Amino acid sequence: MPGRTVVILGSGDIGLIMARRMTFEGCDVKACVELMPFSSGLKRNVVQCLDDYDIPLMLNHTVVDIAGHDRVEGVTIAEVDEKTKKPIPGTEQYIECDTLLLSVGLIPENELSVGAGVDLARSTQGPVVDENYETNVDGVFAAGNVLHVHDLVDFVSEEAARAGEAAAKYVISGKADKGTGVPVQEGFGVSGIVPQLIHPKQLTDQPVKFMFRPRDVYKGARICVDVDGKEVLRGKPHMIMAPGEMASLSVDSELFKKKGDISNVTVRLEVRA
Amino acid sequence: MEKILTCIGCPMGCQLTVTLDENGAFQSVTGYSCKVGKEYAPNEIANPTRMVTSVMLVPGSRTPLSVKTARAIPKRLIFDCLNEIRMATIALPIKIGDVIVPNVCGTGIDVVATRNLK
Repeated sequence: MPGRTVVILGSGDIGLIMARRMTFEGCDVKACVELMPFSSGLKRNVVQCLDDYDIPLMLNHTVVDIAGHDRVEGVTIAEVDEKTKKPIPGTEQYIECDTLLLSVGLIPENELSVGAGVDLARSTQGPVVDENYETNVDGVFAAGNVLHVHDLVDFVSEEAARAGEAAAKYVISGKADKGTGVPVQEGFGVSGIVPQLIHPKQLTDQPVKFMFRPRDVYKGARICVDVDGKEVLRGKPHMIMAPGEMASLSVDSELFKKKGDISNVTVRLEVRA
Repeated sequence: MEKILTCIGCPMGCQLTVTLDENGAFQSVTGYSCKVGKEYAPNEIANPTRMVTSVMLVPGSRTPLSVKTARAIPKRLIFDCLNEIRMATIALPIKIGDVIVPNVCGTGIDVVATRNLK
């Protein structure tokens, strides 16, 4: 074990699960410190990894100083202004610890993708793919955390199954004429959309599955899909959406096939006033 | 007596206020916004259970063995379960699903391997 008394910076799923793991292995986890006003992890993990072991979740807080020379001796944390995210002077508190665990976000590992000449998307920081999870390089497909960082392995499996199916088809039938790719844009409240591209010409009866992260916490938001600026789908309101839980929407492929030539698709959230 | 729980059903995380009788048994719950919370509260009071996962060293293997309880065990037994896992001895080879600790803490539930080791 790297230490005995631990402070964790970041309350995404990995920070939360590490809090429980460190507790299981005999550490005293003093606090989980989170810059945002909410945990970006699953609610289940907040309850079962922190609450179960009475580990405090310090929202709107960050680490402003680390004490110690050869070894961490403690950290100073402070409350941050909710808007500016800057530490508020006078709110500092010192926590003695011998380990600071940083769990401050994941991005896809792109070494292979870049080496293969795959285009990357700015918002997921992973490959740009179409509805079959095929990249801009013919015959190269991406799924799982190399594509975008998932919360749950079940969705990785589902995504991989579809990518695998498409890859098998490619191997058997060879390169198909995909037609023109239509970009999928991120509208209000949507970040990290996957797929970023649709090929209407090659769509089958299989629905197109969109996944993304809500930009913020929204109550009563609907997922809506526009084709060329016209709303074609208006989802049911979700009681709550949050960046910590990936949102998804399966869309009937007919909506993209019927339109003839389409030039763009937008996925957005609509929040009631 | 009252107890505060956070519902784990969705990101809403409703704060549930549970009323218990003098024996700690579930009486009623308020604060839920849907039936998930309404059903979660009595279960979480009467019989809170958790899956336990851990790793253990295996003589002759550089890689530790990852293990889990085959089903969720009572929450109060988590640390006893971890101790039994720590005390267990096991030899190579190991296959996924092999029972590492049978009937852990008398629960009738086994701790099983979640990877192969040769």
